Amino acid sequence: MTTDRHRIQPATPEAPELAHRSLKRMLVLYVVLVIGPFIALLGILRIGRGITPPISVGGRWVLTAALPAGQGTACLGLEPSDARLAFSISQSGRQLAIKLGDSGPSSTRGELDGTRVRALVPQEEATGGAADACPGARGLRIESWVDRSTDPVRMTGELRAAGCSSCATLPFSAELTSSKG
Amino acid sequence: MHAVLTLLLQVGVILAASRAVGLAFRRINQPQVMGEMIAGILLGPSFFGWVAPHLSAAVFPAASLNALQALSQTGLVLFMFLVGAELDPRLLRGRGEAAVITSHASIVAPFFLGSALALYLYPRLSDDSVHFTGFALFMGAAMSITAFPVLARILTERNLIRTKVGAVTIACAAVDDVTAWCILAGVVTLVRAESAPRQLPLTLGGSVAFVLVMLFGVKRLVAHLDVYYRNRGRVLTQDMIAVVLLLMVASACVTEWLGIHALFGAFLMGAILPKGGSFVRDLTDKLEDLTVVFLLPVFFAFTGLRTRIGLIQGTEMWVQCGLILLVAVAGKLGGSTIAARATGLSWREAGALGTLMNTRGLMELVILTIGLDLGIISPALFVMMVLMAIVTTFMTTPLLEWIYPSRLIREEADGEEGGDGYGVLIPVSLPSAGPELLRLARAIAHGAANVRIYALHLARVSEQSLLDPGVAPSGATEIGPLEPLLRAASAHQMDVQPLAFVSRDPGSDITAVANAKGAKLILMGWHKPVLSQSILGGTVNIVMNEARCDVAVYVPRRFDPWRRVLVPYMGGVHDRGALDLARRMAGRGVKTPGQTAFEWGDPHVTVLHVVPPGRGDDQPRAGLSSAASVFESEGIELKVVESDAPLEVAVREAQRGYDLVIVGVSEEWGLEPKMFSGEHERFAAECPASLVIVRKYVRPDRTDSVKTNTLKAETPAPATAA
Repeated sequence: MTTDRHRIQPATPEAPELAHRSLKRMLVLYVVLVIGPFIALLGILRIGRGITPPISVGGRWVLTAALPAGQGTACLGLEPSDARLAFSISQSGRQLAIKLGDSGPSSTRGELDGTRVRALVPQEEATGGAADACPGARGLRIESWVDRSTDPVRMTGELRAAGCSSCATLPFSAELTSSKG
Repeated sequence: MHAVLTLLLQVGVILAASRAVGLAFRRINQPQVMGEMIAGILLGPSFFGWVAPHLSAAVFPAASLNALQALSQTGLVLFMFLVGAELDPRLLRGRGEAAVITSHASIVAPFFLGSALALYLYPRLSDDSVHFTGFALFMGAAMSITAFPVLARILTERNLIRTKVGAVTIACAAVDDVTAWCILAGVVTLVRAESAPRQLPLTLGGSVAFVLVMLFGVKRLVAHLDVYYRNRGRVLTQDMIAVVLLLMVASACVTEWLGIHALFGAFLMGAILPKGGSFVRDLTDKLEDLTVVFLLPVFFAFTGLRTRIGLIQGTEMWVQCGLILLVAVAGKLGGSTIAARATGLSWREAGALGTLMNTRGLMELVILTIGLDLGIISPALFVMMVLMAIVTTFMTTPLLEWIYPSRLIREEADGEEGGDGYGVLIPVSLPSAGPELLRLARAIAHGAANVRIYALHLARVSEQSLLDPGVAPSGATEIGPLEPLLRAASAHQMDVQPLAFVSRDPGSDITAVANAKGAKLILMGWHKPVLSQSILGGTVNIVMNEARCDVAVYVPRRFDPWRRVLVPYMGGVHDRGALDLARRMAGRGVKTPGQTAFEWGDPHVTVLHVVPPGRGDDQPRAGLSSAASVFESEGIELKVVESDAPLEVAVREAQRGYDLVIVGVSEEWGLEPKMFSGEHERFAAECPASLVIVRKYVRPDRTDSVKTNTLKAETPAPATAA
């Protein structure tokens, strides 16, 4: 490697000033590009504390319903063994994905509005022979309210067959057995 | 199905899909890891589960996923250990104020924007089981991550690693990685403390104590291990690997118990390993293949199984997804670009840096998995962020090509490196061939002024080299295969510039480097390929067809001094190229008296000029006469033979005790460069001496001048200005 001596300039009186100016520029840049946004970030965190998100309903629930004997609930697509039915809710804000039981990969969509949970389990997802009992049935509608003042958290509501007015509604309650399942 | 059988089936399906999609992505110039990520998504409910739900449920039954998850987490722990092991602290310092500002800004800008976006997303995609602070900080950290391994690999493949952009980018990415992981550790601590506040003092105190123990205790212990390794002749035994792995597992367990995450312990253990020697390289070599080829695809698949694109429903959610992508790109690409520009890089360089920093790849998936496991982000947000990671990784290569085209990189290199003198590029494939090629280069270039010799090693792109992107700890690609050549150069006090990088297309890259360096000659070695007998096929063929300079292929047969050199000559342009080289070797013109290239003196060159019968009249004869007198003055012997069978004549002559034969490629000599053929290489097959096959470069605008086949005394340009 060669060095061209002629290019090496003696230090000039301006050199320290240039270095100082460069340093100053870097500091200004650092403040604008780094420290500024960092301070603004603290502001965002402060503002965010005032935001109220939807309540948490995600997790594994166990539904308890007093299923009447006989064919009373056939139109709901429920069987006597469903008296204690486990289901899980996967929550993304107000959007819910509800999966009945443990079988099958599919889940149904639901919605959270305040403390009210609404969902429609399509006919093919509903268990039992609801279609036979009520030809117009579109599925199982769930409507319930979450009460978080209890421990464990409870949900009470009713099940009804969508599109089948002759079918009786079935009150139920459910308990959250593990959150964010 | 039996649990083990199910797991084996799953792993088989995952590996096959991962390889297939990975290879397909490599074909479109995307990193293999990109394809593996996509393969994971395809195996999940978004594709496989949607197209064939029952088959999908049979291959990936819900009850079996625990085993897959365990395998996936083990892979991640090992991967993070390797990431830590590959981290070079030297990259974190000494790159100047510009790199400091750019790297800090490239974290803060996306972090700020990610947190700001949290104001919008929190009420829509989260719930009150997560506090806003944890959610916002997590979004910030997830937006500011950079996929260091993928980025380093792209830099290497595009030969940007040695450029200013490459140096600043690699430093920024290293700083980003470490910072983002530290921030994430803080976020995890914070989120866990929200659910168990009493745990917080233990987590904080324990974490500080743990880091101190690692830095001042365990680090010394592994340093001893390094000493032991060197004393044992740099042999990494299984016992030593077991000790390091045990330490890694212990470290991961401690951080998990403290409430941070097992991954941080594994990362820290890797980070404190002694760097700079071959200990870490040997260790990572042993672990990397298993981790990258076997375990990481399982992680991708497990991530894919949790990624239900169907969770994004309705216009509003797709808008949210688009917004996440926009903020991610604006924060990382925009923030880095503006910071780099403000600190002095050109817009093009700054844009390239920003584009590279925007690569999130696998590291983003790791962070998102942690977030989903801890419940910080919801499943729908997880899907949106996964899509963002895929898009930002995918866009890197084409965007970079648009902003900073390969052509421009080569042109800039041309501008820097072209020029005067005689440049010889020696591509070295087999390390043992290096010294012989150097000997030939010395012979050809000796006496020339301003000789520049470049030794080039191209590492083939390894399929799995996710963690080893060809970047050595110093930022330079490994030049190990060039070491025999460099030692020989050192012994002869020759200045050789080593070059090495990863290459997808060695033939084209050799010619590109030759152009960039202004080489006048590419000197290639030849070793017998596995599947072919051809000398002038494969990479040699590509170089001969594409190079804009002379190309010589050396086929060594014996390693004696080159005392007698033969040049078969019929007047073709490539014959002239062969003659040029021979005359250089004979020390024509430029030497000072008494100077020779070799201990044994200059070689004796014989030119065998074969002319068709009855053509030795008139003007050609006059030309021969003139040439003979010039050659005589240079000590070159001229033999003129009239024959219709030049090949036979040349072969017979070559069998008369020559040490080296230099011959131009041509049909007459049975030497034609073809991609797949060895049939026409009879001369090479029957010549007992070492052989140099020459292809002379003719500029397209001078093709007319090559038609003459008369041997004239028109001499090749003197070596000083060749």
